[in-house]
Order: sequence, then C-alpha cells, then structure tokens
Amino acid sequence: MRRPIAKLCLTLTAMTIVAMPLPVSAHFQMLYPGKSALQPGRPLEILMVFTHPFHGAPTMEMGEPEALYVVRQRGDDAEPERLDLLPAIQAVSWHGTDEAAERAFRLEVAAKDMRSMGDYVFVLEPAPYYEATEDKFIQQFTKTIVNVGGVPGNWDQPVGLPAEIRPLDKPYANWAGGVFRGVVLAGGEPVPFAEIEVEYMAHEPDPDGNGWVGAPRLTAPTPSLEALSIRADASGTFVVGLPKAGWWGIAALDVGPVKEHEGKALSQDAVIWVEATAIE
Amino acid sequence: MTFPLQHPAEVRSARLTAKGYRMHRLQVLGLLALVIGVAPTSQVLAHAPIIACFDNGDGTVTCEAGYSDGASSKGQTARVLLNDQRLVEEGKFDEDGTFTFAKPKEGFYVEFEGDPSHLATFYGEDLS
Repeated sequence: MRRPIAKLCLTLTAMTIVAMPLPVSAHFQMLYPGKSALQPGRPLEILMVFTHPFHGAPTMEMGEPEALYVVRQRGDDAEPERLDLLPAIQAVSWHGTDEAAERAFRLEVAAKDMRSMGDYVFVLEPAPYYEATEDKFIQQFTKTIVNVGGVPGNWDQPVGLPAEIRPLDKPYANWAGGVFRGVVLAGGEPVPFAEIEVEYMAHEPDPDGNGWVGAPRLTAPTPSLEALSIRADASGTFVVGLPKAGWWGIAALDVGPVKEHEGKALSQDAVIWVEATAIE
Repeated sequence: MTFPLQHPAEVRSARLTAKGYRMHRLQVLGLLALVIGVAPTSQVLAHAPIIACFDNGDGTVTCEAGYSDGASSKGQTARVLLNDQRLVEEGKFDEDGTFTFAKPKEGFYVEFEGDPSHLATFYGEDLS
C-alpha cells in the first residue's frame, strides 16, 4: 500500500513542478556596446553576457569565446578591415536579476580604434554552451553593429558566419515604432521559414557593477509576449516591429550547418542586436 | 451578379465638368511643378556631406569626409581656414577620404566642399 501512495505523491510533486509558471524567455548572447550610433567616436566598453534579456536571468556561464572581432568600413568604396579583439577580453562575474553570478566577458575598445567614421560590425563566436534542461548545446553567432559619425559602410554585408542574420535596415538607425528587416542565412544562403525569437532587453546593464540596474522598463501581461516567436518567410526574410526604445535581440534558431557537438545535439543560432531610439 | 444603376445625378457629379477638368489639369500641372521643384532638395537631404576631424597629437590634424549614403569624398576639396576666414590650406581628400594638415595655432575650421551645394564644416574646438 505504501508504494502506490509514494508513487502518487511523487507524481503529484512532478505535476506541480511542471505546472509552475516558469519565465518564458529565450537564451540570448549579448554583445552590448551601450550605444550603437556614436557621434563622435569614443572608447567603447562591450559586454558579452549569455542571458535571458527580458528577465535579466538566469545567466548562463560562458566558455572562452572561439572568436571575437570587428569588421569596419567607411563608405561604399572602402575595403573592409578586420581587427581581432579576442586577446583583449576580460572575464567578469555577471550578476543576474536573480542575484546568481556566472562568467561573462567584457572588452574595452580603445579610442584610436573607434574614432574613424563608418560601420563597425562586432562579431562574437562563442563556445557552445551545454543546456542541461534540453540536453543539447547552443552556440549563438552574434552581431552588433555600431556606427560612428553617420557615414555608413558594411552594415548590410554578411561576415561569413555559419549562421547569420543579414540586416536589411541599419540596426543602429531605427526609431521606436518602426520595423527592422533581415534575412536569415546559413552558410551564406537564405533559410526559408526559419524559427526566430525576438526579445526586449528590459533591464539596464551596468558595466561597472557587472549586473543589471533599475526596475524593468517593460513587463509582459502574458508569457507569449516575453519572447516573441515568429517565422521568416519563404525567402528567409523577416520583419519585426520595434515598439519601444532600447535594445531588441533577434535570434534565428538552429539554422547553422553543424548539428552535433561532443555527442549531443547542437543548435547553431544567429543573433543580431538592434537599437531603437525614442522619438522625443 | 449585377450592380444597381447609379442615379443620373450621381453620374453627373462623378464626371468632371469642362471647367472642372481644366481645374484638374491645372492641379496636376501644379503638382508636377512642385515635384520637380522639390526633387533636388530631397536629393540633397538624402545625400548629406559629413566631416569629422581628430587631433593626432603630433601637431597634425586628420579629417575624414564622406556622405550619409556611403559615397566617397575622394578628390573633393578640403579647406582649412582661421576663424577670421583667412585661408590656411586647401587640398583634396585622398583615396581613403582623409586629409591631414598641420594644426594651426589659432582657432580654425575645416570645410569639406563636395558636390555642388554640398558643404560641411568642422570646427577646431570640437577636436578630440
């Protein structure tokens, strides 16, 4: 008699755990420069945190990135120039809104490297992260594009990542209330009907405090509004609205060509960050 | 499926009278003239000259110039003037759209004179 009762208790406990309203937000690799449009150029501090940006937690521990670089170009005719940034990164302990701390990275880009006008396409190729709850690895190839001075360059050019979002609108020049368009690429080819998640960075990152500050700038009445889930169209193109000023993360899921890592499933995602500016 | 016939009065009001047609034609011509007149201004707004300069710390200043649509400033005029409008130096932006000159000891400004009607100015006090 005891065993059936014990089984029932276990089952009820499991059902209760499953039914608990867990935050529905997505994994997003941050590559956060503070501002995306600079006038004039200035030194830049870039944060790399693997987190859930709507809630600011939980934070996932980052491994040593495989690559970090910037491809910069001023004007249509100039040749793009690539600068390796990996040697300059520093590990930090990032505190999520849940107070738990995990390893993240930061980078200081010197004034001399950010003074020229043009586009700076920052690219992070992180190490695959093992997500135990899904028993799979996640690797998010992430781009954030910064402009100095208003002269454009290579903002719309792919950098040749296995999984990549090619912007059709400048990610640094968007009014809140506008839209952002892009094309999901895998190995340079469009991905029809790619699954895409969109999430707002609802908390303010504090580079000095290695954590988030202030109250959330946005709350969602339903979980489905925390991480918006959409599909690209048949040509791999998508359009997302930017209803609020701040940073929006866009991730195309499991589009990269490599599907396995260390004997487990691997999701190679493409992430791009877009900043919307308030109309005052 | 057939549509109900319109009342003759409605048909009449929907047609343009001879006078109305003349008015309509004048409006169209006016609109065309407006579009032609506005177009060059819009083009200017869509393709704006931009200049930025830096103090190299070695007694020289480098200026970069370009356009808001990514067009190059190569071969276009750079002019360094003192604040009292005396010309110090005039040259051309190079292949990379840059122009370097000796930093004047007095207050100065730099002009980027691009395509016709395109002029952008950088003031020396904004040097970084």
